[in-house]
Amino acid sequence: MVDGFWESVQWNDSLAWRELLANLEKMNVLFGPRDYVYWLAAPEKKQLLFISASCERLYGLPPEAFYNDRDIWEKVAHPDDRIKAKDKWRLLSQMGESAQTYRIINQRDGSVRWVAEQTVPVLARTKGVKLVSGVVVEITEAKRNEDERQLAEHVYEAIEQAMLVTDGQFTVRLVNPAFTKMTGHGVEIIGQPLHMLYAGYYDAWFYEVVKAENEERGEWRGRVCWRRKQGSPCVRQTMVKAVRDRAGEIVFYLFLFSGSSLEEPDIIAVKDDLKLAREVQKRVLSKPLSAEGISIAGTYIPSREVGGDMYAWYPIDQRRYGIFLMDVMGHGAAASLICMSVRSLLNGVIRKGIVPNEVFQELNRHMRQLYHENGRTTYYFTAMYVLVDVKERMIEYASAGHPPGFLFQPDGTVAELDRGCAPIGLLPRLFVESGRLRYEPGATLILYSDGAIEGEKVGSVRQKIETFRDAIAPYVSLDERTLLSRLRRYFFQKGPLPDDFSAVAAKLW
Amino acid sequence: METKQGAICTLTWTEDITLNNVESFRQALETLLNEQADYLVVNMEKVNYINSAGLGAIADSVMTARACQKELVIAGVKGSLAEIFHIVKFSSFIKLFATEKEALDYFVGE
Repeated sequence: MVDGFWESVQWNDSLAWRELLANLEKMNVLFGPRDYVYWLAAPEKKQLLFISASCERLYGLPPEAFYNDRDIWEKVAHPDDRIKAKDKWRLLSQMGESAQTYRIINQRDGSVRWVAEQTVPVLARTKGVKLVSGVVVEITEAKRNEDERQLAEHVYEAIEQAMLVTDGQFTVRLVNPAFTKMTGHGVEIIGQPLHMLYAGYYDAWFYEVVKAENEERGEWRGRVCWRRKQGSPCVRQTMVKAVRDRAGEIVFYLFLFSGSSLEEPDIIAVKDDLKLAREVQKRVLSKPLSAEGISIAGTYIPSREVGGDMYAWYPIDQRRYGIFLMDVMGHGAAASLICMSVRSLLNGVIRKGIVPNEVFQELNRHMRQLYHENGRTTYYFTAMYVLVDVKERMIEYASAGHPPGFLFQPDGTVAELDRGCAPIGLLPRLFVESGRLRYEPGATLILYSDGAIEGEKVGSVRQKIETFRDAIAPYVSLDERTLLSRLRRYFFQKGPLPDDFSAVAAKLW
Repeated sequence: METKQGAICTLTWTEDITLNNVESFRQALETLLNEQADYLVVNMEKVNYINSAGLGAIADSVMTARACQKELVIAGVKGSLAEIFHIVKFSSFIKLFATEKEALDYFVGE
């Protein structure tokens, strides 16, 4: 509106004004966005000259209700705001420049809405009358969001649990004081990629695992070794939860870390001992062997600090090699100790017994002597033993209650090593049925523990074995170390292992 | 668990055997071994999974039964349970039957 236009209109004829503005509104000229309410008033007369039809949506009242009631502002105001509303006409008549106020208004259904009202003097005083216009915008959602944001901020600051937020691309966006206390990292880490905080346990696959687990289960949980600012590692049970926008897209990842400050010193000491035991256990595993006609390597991923899997191999003479893999019933320190006691015997047992029947009988005697009390089996283990004759290109094997190994021939055929006997230590005397297989140069022998098949969620035991066999098949043409590396990746992608996993691969030429 | 008395005594176990109930399973087997019958059947028709400790309990019971001139067999060995027993080669020292009737027929000599 401009000066001069006003003079051409009968200013005191509010109906004419209203008619004009209503027509402008209809033509979408006056006020396009219908979510806003526009009004024009002569405050000194306590008269509303015009209010846009959108008032019905915001206030729940038609424009006529505003035209016919001079106390309407007070009536639509929330009780907390009623005094302010009562004084509205006086304040408007005194206003010299634009102003913004926030109000709470009542709804007919009892709900309340927050609004922001921008008021502007329209014209200079003309013939003793001053006009003021206002635009009312609903800000209920923004106000609620702001309240929630403030609440979240307080919680974030005050909570003792360490928290970190990344965006959907795993760039750090927020850290709370507890996180800073735990790691030493503060605001300087914001904007950095998350892997800056790793201490080497995890790699790019971690992001994929977190994403996949969040898609499937809504969260990921696991132990992560984080790096403190001064460089030392700190292992924390970590939960990662995706935060999605309304469209369902992941916009943030929330990382929650368990604290260790509540752990008793004794528990920490036990954990340190178990870590040491784990290191010792890893050191007794045979190192890769490469000789004429055979090369052997192994891999071991414990599910806890220490586990019950162990593998070893020995050259027996110029042409024969004994390969052994075992899995003790149960987990933890006890299973680890059984492993170590068997490991101490194994070299002598294999070199003396050589063939599967003798090796298993001797180990069974050992287990029954040490771990069978009052007619009760306290511990036993399953095992696979393969005697490889590289000159004859022949293997002789037996499985003591162990999942069958595989012999992949170069022509693509696969033989399962499923002959054998009951687990070692379970019975006073074993009845061992060993198997013999010939192989062609380039064949691949795979032995594994049941951790390889326990992670599968569905299917029978038979199906799980076949799934694992099919997962290996594409890699059998690779050398034994690369093959095992692919296998490790295969299992890492599946997330935390429910059981120890160990595997031995031997290339036979 | 249900135990049937007679010349042939049957223990019917109806739950998967896990860490939570393996001790109860072991105790049930001990009760079965103490029965007067010489022929003992453990019906595991409703069992789909048995853990390693459960397997140990069965093996111990079989050996205890033999020491007492009794024979213990397993019935209802089908599906995934049969696969587990196959892998651990239990058929090398214990009779396994798909149904309780087959187990009873074995004892009565049919």
